[in-house]
Amino acid sequence: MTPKINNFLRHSFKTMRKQNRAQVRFLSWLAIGTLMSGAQLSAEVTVHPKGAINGADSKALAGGVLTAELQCVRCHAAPGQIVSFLNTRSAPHLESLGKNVSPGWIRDFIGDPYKTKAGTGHPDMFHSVAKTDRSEKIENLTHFIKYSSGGAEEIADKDAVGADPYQMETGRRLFHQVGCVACHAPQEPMSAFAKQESASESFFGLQDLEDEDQPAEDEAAQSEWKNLENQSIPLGNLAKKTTVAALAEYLQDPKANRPWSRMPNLGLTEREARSIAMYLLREQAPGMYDPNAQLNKIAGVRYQYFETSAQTAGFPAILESGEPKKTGILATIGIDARERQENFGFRFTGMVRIRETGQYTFYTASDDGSEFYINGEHLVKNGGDHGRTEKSGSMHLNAGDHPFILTYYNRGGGFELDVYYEGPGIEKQPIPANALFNLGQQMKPTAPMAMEINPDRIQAGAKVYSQLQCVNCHGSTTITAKSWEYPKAADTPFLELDLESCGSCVDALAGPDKPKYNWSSEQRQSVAHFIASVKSSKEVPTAQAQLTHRMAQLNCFACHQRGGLGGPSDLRREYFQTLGEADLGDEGRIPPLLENAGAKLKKSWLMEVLNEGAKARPYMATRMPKFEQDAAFLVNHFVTVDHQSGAGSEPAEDYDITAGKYGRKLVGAVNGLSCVTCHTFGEYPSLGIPAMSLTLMERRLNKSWFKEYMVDPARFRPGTRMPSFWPDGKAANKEVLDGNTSKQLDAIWMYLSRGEEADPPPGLVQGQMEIVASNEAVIYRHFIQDAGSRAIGVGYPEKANLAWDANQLRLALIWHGPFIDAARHRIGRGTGYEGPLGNNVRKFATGPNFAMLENPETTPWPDTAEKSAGYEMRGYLLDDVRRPTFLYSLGDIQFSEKFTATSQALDATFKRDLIVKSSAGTSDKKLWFRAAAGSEIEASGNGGYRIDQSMIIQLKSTPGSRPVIRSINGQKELLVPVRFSNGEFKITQEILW
Amino acid sequence: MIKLKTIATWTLACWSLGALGDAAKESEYYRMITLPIPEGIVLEAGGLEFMPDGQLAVSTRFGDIFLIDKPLADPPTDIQFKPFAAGLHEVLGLSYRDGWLYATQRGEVTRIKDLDGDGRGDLFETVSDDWGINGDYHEYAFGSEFDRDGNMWVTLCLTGSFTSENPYRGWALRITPEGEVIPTSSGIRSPGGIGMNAEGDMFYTDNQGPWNGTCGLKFLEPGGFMGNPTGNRWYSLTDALGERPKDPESGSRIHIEAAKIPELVPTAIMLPYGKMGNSTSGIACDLTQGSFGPFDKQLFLGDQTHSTVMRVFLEKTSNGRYQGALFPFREGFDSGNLSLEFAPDGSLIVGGTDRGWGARGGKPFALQRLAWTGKVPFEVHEMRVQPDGFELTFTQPVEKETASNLESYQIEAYTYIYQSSYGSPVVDRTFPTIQSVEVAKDGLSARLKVDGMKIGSVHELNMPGVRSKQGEPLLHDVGYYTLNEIPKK
Repeated sequence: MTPKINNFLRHSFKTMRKQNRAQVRFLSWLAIGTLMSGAQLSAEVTVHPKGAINGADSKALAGGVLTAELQCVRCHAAPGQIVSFLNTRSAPHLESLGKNVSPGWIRDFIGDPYKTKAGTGHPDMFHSVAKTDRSEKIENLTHFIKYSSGGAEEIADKDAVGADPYQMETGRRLFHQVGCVACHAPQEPMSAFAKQESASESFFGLQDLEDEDQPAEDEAAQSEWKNLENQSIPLGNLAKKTTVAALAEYLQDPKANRPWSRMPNLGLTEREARSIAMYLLREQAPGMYDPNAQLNKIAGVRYQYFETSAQTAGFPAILESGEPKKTGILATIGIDARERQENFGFRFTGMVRIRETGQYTFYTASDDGSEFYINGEHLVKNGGDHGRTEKSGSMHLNAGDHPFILTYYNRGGGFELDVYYEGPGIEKQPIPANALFNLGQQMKPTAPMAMEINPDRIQAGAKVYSQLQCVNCHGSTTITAKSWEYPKAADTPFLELDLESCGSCVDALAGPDKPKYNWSSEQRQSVAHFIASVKSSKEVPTAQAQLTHRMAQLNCFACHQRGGLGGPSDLRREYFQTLGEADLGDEGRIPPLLENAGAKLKKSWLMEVLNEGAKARPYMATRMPKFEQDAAFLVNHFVTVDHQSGAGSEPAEDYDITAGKYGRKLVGAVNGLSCVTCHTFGEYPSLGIPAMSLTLMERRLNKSWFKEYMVDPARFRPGTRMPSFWPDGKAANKEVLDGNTSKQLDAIWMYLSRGEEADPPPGLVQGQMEIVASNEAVIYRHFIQDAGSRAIGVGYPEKANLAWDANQLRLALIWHGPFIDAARHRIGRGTGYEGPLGNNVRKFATGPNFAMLENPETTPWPDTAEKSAGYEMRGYLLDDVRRPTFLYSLGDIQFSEKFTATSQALDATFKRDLIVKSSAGTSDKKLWFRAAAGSEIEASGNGGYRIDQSMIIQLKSTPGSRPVIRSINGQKELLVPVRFSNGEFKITQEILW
Repeated sequence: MIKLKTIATWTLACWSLGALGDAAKESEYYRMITLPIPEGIVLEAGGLEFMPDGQLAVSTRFGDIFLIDKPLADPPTDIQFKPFAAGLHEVLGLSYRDGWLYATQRGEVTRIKDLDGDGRGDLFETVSDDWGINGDYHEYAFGSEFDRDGNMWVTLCLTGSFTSENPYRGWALRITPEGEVIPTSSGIRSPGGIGMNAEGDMFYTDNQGPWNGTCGLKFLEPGGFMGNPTGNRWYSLTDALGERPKDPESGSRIHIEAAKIPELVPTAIMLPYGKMGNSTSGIACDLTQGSFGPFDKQLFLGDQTHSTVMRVFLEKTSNGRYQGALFPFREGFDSGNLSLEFAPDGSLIVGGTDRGWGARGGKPFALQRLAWTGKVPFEVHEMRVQPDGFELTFTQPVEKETASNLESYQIEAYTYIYQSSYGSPVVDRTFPTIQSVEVAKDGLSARLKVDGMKIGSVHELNMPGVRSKQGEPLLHDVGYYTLNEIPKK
C-alpha cells in the first residue's frame, strides 16, 4: 500500500477504533451536528429511515418508521388500525437480554445507552435517578438481567476462539461486500480495498492499523465518513459486549434466538459468519501484530487446503477466495495434508521468527506455482504452471516475528513444494519448526463474561425493572408471578401526544420517571407529522402506503429503488461490488430496481426470493437476505400494488414444440440472436460475460412484462448493457418466423418455459476443435500451457508435436499423438492456456536454449530471455511442407532451429538442427547450449544421453566442442559449449521419448 | 412509469409501422453486397487490406489470413479464397508495404512474405514484440495502417477491465520502420479499432467501461493520456512521455479533469450508449474523392452490437485536438461489425463477428461491402460548432419554410460520469434553447443560434421537421455533437 492511501485509511480507522474505546471524540463531532438542530449533546437515534432514504422527502414516512421502531405505542395507546399499520418492532425479551453479553457492557449500556451505543433506539432510563442511588440500581438491574437470562457464563480458555488473521481478513472483505454496510457503517473506506486485489495483498491491511497515529489529510473525506456513520445502524462496542462464537451464531441466523431482530438472514455459511464476527471483534486480539506479544503466539503454521474439480479453472484464484476443504496447524511447511495429486492447493499463514537483524533470502521451489509474501511484500513470485522451479527474493528483516503468507498449487503432473531461508548465521535450509509461529491468541470480550450473582441484588433489580417499566417493551414471565409489578402509569394516548411539550420523553429535559430519547428536532417533527397525517386521514392506509412503510422499516431502500425512493446513497454506492470481472457494469453490482416488481415478477418467484433467498445474480457481491416473517406481506403487497388488473401471475401455457424449436434457434448462437453470448444457461457458462441465466427467466418473469422489456430494455433499466434485438419493435432477425416480433418473442418464451429442462441452445455446447496436421505441418500460435503467452505450437503429420516458447526462446514441450484442441480459444472470447491434446508430454526447463555463463560450473542458467540482455525473437521460415525454422538472436549472434519429425516403428522421433552464426566473428567462449535438464542425466556413450528415464537424446555438434553434465540447484544440466568454426556452429539433437 | 397497457399499445403501433425499415430506405443510397464465404472457413475478419494486385487480404480471429481474388465482383460470384497464412494469434490489423504484409497479432507485429511465389507466406519476421501479454482474452492488440512517417501504431487493451498486469497494457505504441518502439499515448481501456483521418492524425475507438462512461472515438495525440489511468503504472518504463500524469478524480466529468490534467485528451466523439451502438469498432476515412458519395474525408465507424456503420464529421479545437458530430449511416449488417476498409473502387468493406459479444445481425461472421448507388441521400452533411450555436450543411437544398421553423428542431445536452467503476448513466441532462434558425439562400446550410450550450456534453440535435426542396425528410434526422470547446467569436 502506498503511504498516501494509508494515511487516510489509518485515520478513518483510528477514529472508528477510538470511538469504540472511548466515545469522547465521537461526541465532540456530534456536537457540531446537533448544535445546528439546537438539540442534545449526543447522537440522535438512528433508525431507518432517518429521513435518509435516497430521494425521500416524506416526513410522514420517516415519522411512521420511527414510531414503529421505537415502539411508541407500547406505552402510548393507539387505535388498532394504526397499530396494525405500524407493525411495531418487538424488543428483546428479558429472558435473553443478558445472554452472551458481558455484565460490564450491560452496566455501561443501561447506565448511559447513548454513550455506550451512539445512535441506539433505547432510551436513557436513569437520567432522573439520583446520582447517589444510580450505580447501586444499575448494579442491581444488571444482576437481575443476567439472572433472568440464565445466569453468568464463563468462557474456558479452551473454548475461546483463537484469533486468525486470515479469517479476520476474510471477514473484513465479507463485511464490506455482502451487504452489512448497506445498514451499518463501513469500518474502512473502499479505497483501502481498491488497491489490494487479493486477500494475500490486503492481509496486511489490518496490520497497518496498529501503526502510529497519522495526521488527517483530507477533511472533506473525514466529514463524509462521519456523515455515513451517523446514518448507520450502530454497532456499539462489540468487543466488550460479546464473544466470537455468540456473534457468529447470531450472524448466521439472526432470528433463531432473537426473533425481534430487524437484521435479516444473509445466508452466511458458518465459516463466513465466524470470519465476520472475528473481524468485528478484532480488538479482542490487540497484540496480533505486536512482535512483543509473543505469549499469544503458538508454534506452527496454519494451513488451508483447497481442491478444484475442473481441470482448467480455479487456480490460483481459489487460493484467495475459495472455500478450503480443510484447515489446521502444522509444525513446518509441507503438503502432506493433500488428499490427491492434482488440482489441489494450499495457503499457509503464520510468522517467521528472525533472531538476528540482517538481510534474509527466502526461496520457494515448487511444481506448479507458489507465491510468498512477507510483511506485505510479494517477495517470491514463482507462480504459473511449471515443473519444479526455484525462485527467491531477499529483504532486510529486523529481529522479531514477521507475518507471511505462502500459496501453492498443483494443477497436474508432479507436485512439490520446498521453502527455504537463508540469513546471518543461517545457511540455506528449510524454515525450521522453531522459527514458525502462528497467532494462537484467544479472543475474549474486553470485559469479563463471568459474574457472581447476588440473590439480594436480583430482588432489588427486579424492582428497578418494574419501576422503570422496562416490562412494557422487554416483557417478563416471572415478574407478575412474583408480584413485583408496579401499577403501570397512565401514559398519554399516542394520537394526543404533543412532541414539543416540555418534559416529554423525547425532550432533552425529559420529566422524572420518564424514559429519555435522544431525538433530533427533525425526528420530532417527523413523528408529529405522522400523527397529524393519521389524525387527518379517515381512510385505511392504502396498500401502496403499507408497502412503502414496510420497505422502509426493513430498509429495502438501502439497496433497491422503487417509486423514486431509495437505492444506495452516494456514500455507500461504492461498497456494492461485482464478484470477479463480470464486465456487467452497474447491473453487475447494484441490486435491481423494484419499479413495477409485482408486475414484472411472478408471485411464486417473489416468494422464493423473499422467503428462501433465491438468487438470480450470482455475480453480485451483495446478497439478497431472506425476510422470512415479512415475505408473505411483501409479496402480496407488491402484487396488489403493481398488478393493474389485480390478477395474479399469468397462467402457464401448453408447450408448443414447434414454437419451442424456433425459440431455441433464436436464443442460440447459430444464426440466432446469440443470447447465450452474454447469458449463462443453467450449468453452461455463456460465450462471453456471465449475465443472468436464461433458464431462470420463465420461472421469474411474467410473460407480458418480458415481451415489453425485450423490445426496449433500456426503457426499463436505463443504461443496461442488454441491447434490443427488436429495435423500435422491428425484428433484427428477419429469417425466423418471417421476422414477426410478437411471434419470435412468444417462441423464445415457449422455449425458456422449459427452464433447466430445456436442451441447451445451439452454439453453446461445442465439441473439440482439434487441429490436425495431415499432409503438412500446422502452426498454432496462442496461449499454450507450459509454453507461455507467445507460444508457437507445431503439429507434424508424423504425429509428433512441439510447442516453442517465443518469450523465452526455447523449446518448451514435445508430445505424441493429437496436436491441440483449439476449442478453448475459438469458442466464446477465448481465454486462458490450452495444453497438449496428445500423450507422452515432456516439459523442458524454463530459460532460453542458449545462454552466456560467466562460470560454467556455478553460474545458474537464466530463467528468462531478457531483452535487456540482448535476446530477440526474429520469426520463422516455413519450408515447402510448412515446417518452421525458428529464428532468434542474442546480440549479434543469430540462431536458427529446425525440427524434423521421423515416423518410427513405435512413436515418431524429432531431429533438431541448430545453427549458430556470428557475423562479427564472435568466438565468445561463454556461450552455451542447454540440451536437456533433469534430475538424472546419464551419458551412454557416442553422444547418447538418457534423461530421467523418460527421454533419450543423441548429440552431434561441430568438432571442438565437448558436452558436459553439470549439477546445479539440485538438478542436472547437459550443456554444449558453442565453438565457432568460420563464424558458424552446428548442433544436431535426436530426441526419442 | 408508463402503464403496461399504454406500452403495449405504443409498441404495437411501432410494430405495424415496421414494414418499411430504415435499412430498406438506406439501401436506396448504399447497397449492401454480401460476399459468399466458402464452407469450412470461419471468417471473423479482424483486419482488411488491399494488396497491390487487387486481392483483398482478410485476417481472422482464428489466426488465418486469406487472400480473396476478385473481391469487388458484382454480383459477388467467382470469388476465390486462398489461404496465405494460418495459426497466427488473433490478427486484428493488416497493412501492406514494400512487398511485406504486416499483421498485428496479440503478441507481436509480424511481417510476412511469399518467397517462392506459391501464393502462401513463407517468411514470418517479428517486427516488434515489445509489450507484455498473459493468458487473458482481454489483452487484444489492434494495428493501424502506416502513418505519414512510416510508423505503425498498435493499441493495447488492458489485461482485464480493471487491471494492467503487463507492460504497456493500456497504451498506444508506434513502431518505426526499423522496428523501434515509441510509447506514444497512455490511458487506453478496450480498443475496437484504429485509423487515421484525412489529415493523417491517428484515432481509435474505446469501449464503455471503467473511466469511459460511454464508447468514444478518441484522438491518439502523441504524449496524450486517453483517460483510463489503469495502465499509467508503465510510465515507470519509459521517458518518452515524461512524468506520469496526475490521476483523475473518479466521479468527475472528463472535461473538468482535462482542465486539471494537461495530458488528458477529451473524447473527440462520445457515442451515446444504446442509441448509437454498444461497442464501437473499426474506423475508415473516406478518401474516395466522391466514389462513396458526398461525405468526402469523413470518418466511418462500425458498431459490433448493433451491426451498424456510423458517420463522423470532425473539427479541430484551438489546442489541436478534436470534437465533432456523429450521425447514423447504415444498419442491418449480417454480423457484429469489427473491421472497416475502403476498397480501391470506393466501396466500403465491412467484416463482422459476434463471437464473445452478441450482435443484432445474428450471423457468426460476415464479409460485406457497401456501395454507393449514385443517388445522394438527403442528410446533414456537416454539423459545425459556432460561437453561438451550430451550422448545419445539407447534401441537398432544404425547403426554407420547414428548415427555418424552430419547431423542426429539438436539442438536448447530456454527458456521462468519468469514473473508475464500469460505464455511467446519462447525467447532467439539460435542454439548450434554439433561438433562431437562418437558412442560407442556396438552401444548403442553416445557422442555429443556441442558448445554453454545454462544454463536455453531447448535444443531441433532432431534426424531424426539416424537409428537402423535394419535400423529403432527412434520411437520418439526428446528429450528436460532442462539444469540447466553444470557438471564440
